[in-house]
Amino acid sequence: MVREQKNRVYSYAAMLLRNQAEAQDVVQESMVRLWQHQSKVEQAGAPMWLKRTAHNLCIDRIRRRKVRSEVGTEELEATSTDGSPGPDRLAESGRLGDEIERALGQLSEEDRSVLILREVQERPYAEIAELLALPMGTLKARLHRAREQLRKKLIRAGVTP
Amino acid sequence: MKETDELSFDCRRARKAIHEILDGDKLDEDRSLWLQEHLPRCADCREFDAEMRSMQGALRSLPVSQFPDAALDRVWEQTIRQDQASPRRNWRIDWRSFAAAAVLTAAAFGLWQWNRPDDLDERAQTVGLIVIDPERVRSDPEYARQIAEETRRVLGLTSDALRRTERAAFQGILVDEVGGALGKVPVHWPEQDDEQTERNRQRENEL
Repeated sequence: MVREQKNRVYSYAAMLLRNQAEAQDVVQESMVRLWQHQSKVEQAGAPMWLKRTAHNLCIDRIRRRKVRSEVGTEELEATSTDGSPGPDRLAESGRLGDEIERALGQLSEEDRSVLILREVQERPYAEIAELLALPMGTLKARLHRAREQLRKKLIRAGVTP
Repeated sequence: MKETDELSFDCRRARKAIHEILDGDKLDEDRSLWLQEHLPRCADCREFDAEMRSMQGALRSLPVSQFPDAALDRVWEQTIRQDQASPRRNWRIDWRSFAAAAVLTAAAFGLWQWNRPDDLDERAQTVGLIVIDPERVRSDPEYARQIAEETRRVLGLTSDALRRTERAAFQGILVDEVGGALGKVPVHWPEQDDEQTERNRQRENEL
């Protein structure tokens, strides 16, 4: 189970946190916690348990960052909007993915998490609703809002999706 | 690019339908036909549709990050180390403590069931001997032999006590519970006619 889930959980954490070292810490901690709670977690529910733990640890870290300082995020936003390559250059260099990742990083963690889970990882709606503890209607409304926010960020950055 | 609140009613309706298509939902026939009519007439919504589809495609083709093997190794090390350090494992290894606890439990049970007054002295000796000194067991063969002998004797008493308890429990169940339950079972005798009842009464009087 761990081998099947590790890359997906790690990708999710890395995109949500925008920091690979922190994402590694989160995934390691989630796996160790799963090991410690193995007697309480049913085998069928273990993947969801792992994802939810990783998600909660990511959200904790993002909140701690906000409390410490807003500077990091502002710097990231500034670098993403300054001197972004235009659509032609992006197409030539194949860096649309980089620009999308940068734009994703500027969204709120709520919008970012729902976009990563649904659009990047293509997880089923029911799984996302369970993971984020959201009713289906709220989840879809958040997904629609997140898509539009991402499109706006890309257009403002001079990238035509 | 128009903001959502600047959009006409039709454009908002069209974008909602486009989102639903991106969600993987199937539009009903009326809405699908309406959207097909709206898009050729509205450049903004056509652009929105194309950009959203392109963005979804780009998001889906983002590479999946690989969790490094070294990080996974660290997880294994941490979990194995925790497992080895857990007191549960030490408890399993320390079979001497387990054996001593078992003997003490057996002795306690034996004494509890052992109710002959003339055995009081013997009981006291058993209690004294059954408090095992593990160090002395290792160093003093005579003491170890005594302990083994006493343990066998206490286990024998415990076995007798268990048999007595089993017998008593069986009798209790049979007499109290089964007998009591049978007493509560309603018995309906077949109805007898008056002539038969009179004959029975005469027979009882004769007896």
